[in-house]
Amino acid sequence: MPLAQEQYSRSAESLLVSLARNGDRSAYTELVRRRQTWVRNLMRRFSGDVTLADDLAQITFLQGWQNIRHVQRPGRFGAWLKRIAINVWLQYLRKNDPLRQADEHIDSNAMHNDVTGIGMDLDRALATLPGDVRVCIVLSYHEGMNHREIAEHTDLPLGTVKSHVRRGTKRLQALLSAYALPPGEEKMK
Amino acid sequence: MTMDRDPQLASVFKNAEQKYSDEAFTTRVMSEVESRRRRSIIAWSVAGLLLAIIAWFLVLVVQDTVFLLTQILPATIIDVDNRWVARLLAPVNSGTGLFGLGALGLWLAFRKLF
Repeated sequence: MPLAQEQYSRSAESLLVSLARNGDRSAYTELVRRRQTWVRNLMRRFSGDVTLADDLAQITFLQGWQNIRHVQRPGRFGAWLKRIAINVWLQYLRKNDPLRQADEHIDSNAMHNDVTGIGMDLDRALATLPGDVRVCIVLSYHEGMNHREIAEHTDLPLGTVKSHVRRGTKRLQALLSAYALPPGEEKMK
Repeated sequence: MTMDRDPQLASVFKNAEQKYSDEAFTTRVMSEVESRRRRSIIAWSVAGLLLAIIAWFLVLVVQDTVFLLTQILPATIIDVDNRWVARLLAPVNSGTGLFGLGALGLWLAFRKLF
């Protein structure tokens, strides 16, 4: 018997995943509702474009629905979805040259009122990085993944990941120096 | 594993995160799920219908072919008068035998070439 909407919103994620695995679309709707902030933010950092990020997030959730019956452990749904999201972005990256389109994306961002200043500046800075470097930086800083995890998810050699993160960090530090905290404040935090 | 993650940059990433709670995105995703399901049902129905039409047209051809094969395969290729020699050559002296030898030859040629 299908659950009431209220029960879905109160249910644990692993239960929702189990229900969705059996074809319960309302359960998956609730999963999309809960995970949208995370996936859309991740795609936003990858792409630097609000509209494109939402399109890619949509593709991620559609692929998630098509493959949800293959989820082995419902408790690891987030990690499973993250892998899909990264693959969606890498596929997009292979088909398109983000550096060539970077300026276009940034211009389209300027038209969105919901974009915060810091988000905009971060996207501008990220847009100056080569595709692979940007992926490594976003996975490191946005997702908090370590080098080995990034290498596993992106199929890049571990040494390359390390150098990408180091190089990207230096570049972002230079571009986002305005957001650097005064000395000592970081420790107080 | 040692990570050279800059805490100040990490805080920029954290502060840049936006909270998305609009129902429009969820609705958009789920309506696409629904329309893909509909498209898939339509595609399978069309494929099934096409298969049925093709089968309808081919049924006579298939029937004729099967009938022809039942006539050709057991037929003797060369008439042998001696009863014992005829029995001995029976496995190769028929349509089935010829077909089998042909298939074996093709398979051996395929293996030699590829």
